[in-house]
Amino acid sequence: MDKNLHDIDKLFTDGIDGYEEMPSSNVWEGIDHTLDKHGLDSIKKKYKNLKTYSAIVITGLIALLVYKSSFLTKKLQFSDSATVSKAQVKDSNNLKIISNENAEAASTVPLTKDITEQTTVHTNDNLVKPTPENKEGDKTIIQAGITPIDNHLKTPTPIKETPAVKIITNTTTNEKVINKRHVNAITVEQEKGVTKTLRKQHIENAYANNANAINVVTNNTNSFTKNNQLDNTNAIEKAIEEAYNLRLPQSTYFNKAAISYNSNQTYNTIQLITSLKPTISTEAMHKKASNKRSLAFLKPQISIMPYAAYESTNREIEDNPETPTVGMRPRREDDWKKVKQHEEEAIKTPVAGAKVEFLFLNKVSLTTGVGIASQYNKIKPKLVETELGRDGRIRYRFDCSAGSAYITAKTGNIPLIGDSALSGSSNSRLRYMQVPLLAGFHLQKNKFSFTPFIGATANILLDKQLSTEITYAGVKETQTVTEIEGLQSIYYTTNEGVTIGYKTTRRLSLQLTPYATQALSSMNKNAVVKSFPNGLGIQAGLKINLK
Amino acid sequence: MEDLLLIQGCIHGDRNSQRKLYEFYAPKMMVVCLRYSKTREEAEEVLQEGFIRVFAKIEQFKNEGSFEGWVRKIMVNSALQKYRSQKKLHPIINIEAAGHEQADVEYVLPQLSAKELLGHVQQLPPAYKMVFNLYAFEGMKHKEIAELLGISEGTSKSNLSDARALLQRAVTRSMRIAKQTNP
Repeated sequence: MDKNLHDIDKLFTDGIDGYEEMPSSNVWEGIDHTLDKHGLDSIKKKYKNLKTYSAIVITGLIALLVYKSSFLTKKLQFSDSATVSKAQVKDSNNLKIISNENAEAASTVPLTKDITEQTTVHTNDNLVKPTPENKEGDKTIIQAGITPIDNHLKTPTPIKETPAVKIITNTTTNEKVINKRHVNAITVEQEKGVTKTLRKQHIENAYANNANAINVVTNNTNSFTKNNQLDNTNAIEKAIEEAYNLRLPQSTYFNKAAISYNSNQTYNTIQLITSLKPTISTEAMHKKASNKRSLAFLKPQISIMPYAAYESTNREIEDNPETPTVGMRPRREDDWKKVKQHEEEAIKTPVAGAKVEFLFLNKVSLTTGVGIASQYNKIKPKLVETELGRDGRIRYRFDCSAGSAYITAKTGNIPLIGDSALSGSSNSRLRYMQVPLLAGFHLQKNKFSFTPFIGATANILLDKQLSTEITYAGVKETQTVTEIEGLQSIYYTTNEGVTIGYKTTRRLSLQLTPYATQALSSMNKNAVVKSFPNGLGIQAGLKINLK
Repeated sequence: MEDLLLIQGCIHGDRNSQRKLYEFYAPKMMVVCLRYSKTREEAEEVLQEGFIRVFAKIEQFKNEGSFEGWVRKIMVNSALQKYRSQKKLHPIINIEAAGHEQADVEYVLPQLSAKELLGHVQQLPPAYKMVFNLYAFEGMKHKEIAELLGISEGTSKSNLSDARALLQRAVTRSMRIAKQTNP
């Protein structure tokens, strides 16, 4: 047989060897389609690196461009004082300052190149109309929007002189708010020989002396003009840029600009006229800062605390007259008394859980959490009687402070109505999930803390159990029933106590909490009795500060 | 030589070369796939998957051994992968367990066609089919088969024995039918 079986191998290998079969055309179509997809993928892979590098380079270029252009949008510092009152202005050096209304510019110092004498300043307010003799003369390019007179660059002719000092009034109606940056005082003098520091000094002096308009003297007006008209925005922007460079502290608006030329066209002046109003009110700044501080209140310190506790609970038992029946029979007056008089030992309640504490302003605490509490109740031996249930079965009814449990005789004869049995020492266990909400006041003294608190706890029933040893008709049975009728799924208690803490490290502290609980509501419903659990407990835990 | 040119063409992704290579090897490989599959459709799926792998990994062919052997290995691996995936989805229950009954002790003359023999192999339960194919056709040892299929050596031997017995029975039945039809 073995030979045959081995020969079977040979039979098949020899028989099939060399045999060929053509697959259907679908196979190649499928391969072709998949190869196309793979081809795309490989192309994608091939150029993926190239694309990645290109993206990096382009992003870098864009970032560089943005950085360059953002030069003009850098934030500047504010100073609190932005008031400039109307007063005379003095300047000691190469800065021409225009004082404000009703003031005389008595102390203007001519510029090095004597521009004062040769400069004509024109503004909206006092446009100098060309006289016949200077029709071809000096062209003063005035504020954007106003038609220039002539192109002065072509025909430099003496111009009509006006006072070098111009009194400029405040204008609030046409303010040009430069609010895309934190505008600071703008004054630039770009005359040769005047250092940046010196310029800054001049300007600061000027502001200290309540200047409201400052001249920008520059050799190059091209950047301020567009189509031979003064580019107001550009001029102001340029001035702002320079002010930023000088890190001038004050802020201001500029609502007018004028440009004028000296007869030699060697110096040109951009006159920027302020409205004396800060771009951003310091008041707003302070408000913002104080809001921030006030919002800090809402950021609590958070700690968690795993804990273990032990409660000793007593159930206050009251009559429940709302229950019309007890099981299947009408309620009797002494039903509840039987439970009340039959003493139950103090209920032992171990608890374990975790709490979360939110501490606001280092004083007020709000605590919540979850704990599991198991109430162990030992019940002394008692007589239990039979009762006909709704299902037609006769069972022994066991009443206690928790509620009523029905015990079915498992062995021996079926009990009859009126029969009774002796129940030995019994134990009930009720397990609750406790969810507290507590408010406390936190006091800290060195490493010790004291937090008296008060609050409420929701006790949510998880499971119930009654174990008893029942003796009837000579039969002794130990039974455990998991159904106790008449319990509320939730009942509420108050909690009050004081937490004593000892800080062991920056984040850890040991906590000990003696506390008391009182039932706010009965733990029963539709039961013979109303039970109100009250107790005293002690809790220990480890508090961990998260923040 | 022609093979090498085609292989080079396939490495460069030339579709014509790929097609020609496919047309040359597909009929042989189809039989390999049929041996490992229950149905023709299943075999074509394995074949398609196998050739896609061939073209994807053709650069890895190092001219050690024959190209046909290399392609055949890929086909067998594809078949095994399919077997493993089917094993996960549907546990293979060998309802046709051959047991260890005595096969007919009858020397079967090799009169059956290749197609018929192939059909008998296809009808084997998947586990037996795998072992039989790997042992008889691929020349693998039980240790290697056991590692490949994730079974013990003993199971491999037992499966092979059962497979042979089943094939023997199937062949015998076919022979009887053939004799009855053509006396």
